Amino acid sequence: MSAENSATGAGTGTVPLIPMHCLRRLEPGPPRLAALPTGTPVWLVSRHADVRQVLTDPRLGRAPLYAPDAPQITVIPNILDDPQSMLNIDGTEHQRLRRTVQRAFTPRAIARWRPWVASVIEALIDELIDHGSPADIVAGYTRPLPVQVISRLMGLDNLDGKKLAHWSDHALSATAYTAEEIGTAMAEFAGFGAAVIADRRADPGEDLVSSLLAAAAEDGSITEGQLVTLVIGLVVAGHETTMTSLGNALVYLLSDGREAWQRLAADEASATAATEQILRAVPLGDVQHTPGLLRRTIEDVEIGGVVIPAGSVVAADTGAANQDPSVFTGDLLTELFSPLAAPMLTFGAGPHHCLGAWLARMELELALHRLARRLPSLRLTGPIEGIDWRRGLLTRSPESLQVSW
Amino acid sequence: MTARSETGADPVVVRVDRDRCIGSGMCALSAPGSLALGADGLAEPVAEYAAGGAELTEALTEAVDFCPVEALTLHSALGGHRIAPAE
Repeated sequence: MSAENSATGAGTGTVPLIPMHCLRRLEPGPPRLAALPTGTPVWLVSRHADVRQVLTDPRLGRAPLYAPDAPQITVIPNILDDPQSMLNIDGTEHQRLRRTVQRAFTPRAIARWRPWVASVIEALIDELIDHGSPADIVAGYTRPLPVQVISRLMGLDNLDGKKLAHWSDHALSATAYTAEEIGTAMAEFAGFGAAVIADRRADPGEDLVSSLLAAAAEDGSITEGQLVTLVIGLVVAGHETTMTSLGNALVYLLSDGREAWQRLAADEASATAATEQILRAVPLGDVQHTPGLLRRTIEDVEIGGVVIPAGSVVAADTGAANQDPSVFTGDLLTELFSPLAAPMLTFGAGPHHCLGAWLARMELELALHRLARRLPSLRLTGPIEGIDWRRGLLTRSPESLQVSW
Repeated sequence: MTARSETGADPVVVRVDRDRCIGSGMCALSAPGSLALGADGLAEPVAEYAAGGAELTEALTEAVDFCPVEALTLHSALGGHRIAPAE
């Protein structure tokens, strides 16, 4: 909780914000008590090994965060607070729901999409070049790429980009919108999800929605509400964080990290290594909205030498753990192309490890490599201080980013 | 797969790539007779599936198939060759 962090991110102001790659994280140390924005006490866990334990130890779960006796963990609930969603159920129930989609997201399943994703990237770069310099790389690249990819995977041919952005911003709002605004947007989004499900039941195809519906029908235990939440959750999760990560990666690579641009263009392996390091070192959001990935203990658990009592809320600060100096040495400038010294925790770990991790990795590494290759002289047009950030959301990335070449 | 093992086909061992494993625990839920989560939160084969080998069950095949990070591989306990996933 450095001074830098406390000055960033909140509200809808226009104060210049620190770029995500410059945020200072909590110095890793033993678990310590703090408070969530709701005032609820929370154990902050920050060391790499401790964060990994919190995320994999079955004595901590997501479901207990929404149990009847649970304290309030969000000021204004959003899509992540649905107690029946895949994120908020544990154990066998969670596994049954996750299995309906897991097979589509294994490394091998994702690798089959690689040539197609590369073709989407090349087409977007063609359009950028046709548009001419300068251009907004968010509107022309970092936003449309993951939207096109998830639309194709899910068979959402007529997805309205403006509506999607509206729904996604509300779905992951921290302070930007009121509970009523979020409720209205989520009801509309759920209506969209229900319509997609009805359409695919009537006319199944080769897409992810059709396959998850078939798997759910076979399973028989999954509710209609869970299916709707899963579908709209996939739409949001399928593009929002990838857009965020790619946007923040470009802020770094076109400013402080600019000297790596040429090597990123050289080969895909370099881009693969750089993607892992960027995912590790550049957080997706500001810590004041949420200090980490939340879990709750179901019994007393010793973590990093501290006994955390049953019923406690625990925040696994993956951002701090990703920069734990006892595990990771050096910074992005020196380590960008080095293999990771230990697993990075940006995608989490344990049962709720990000379903889309391999898809995100592939999109990011191809997007960085191809862009560097096609536009070797790419640079930011304006100063970093002038970046227009998406504010008040759980993630933070540029709303727009003017670039020239 | 079950039929094959019932006919006395090769016993199998399962290997966990501990650099890849993210401790999802899906394998331990699917095939508790073959895999468990260790004290470090990562998957490990139960004794007979680590060495010596045991029957290839449907649950184990599924566990390998559904590992989110493809950290599990099945090998013949006798010849050592990889059975699944396909190379």
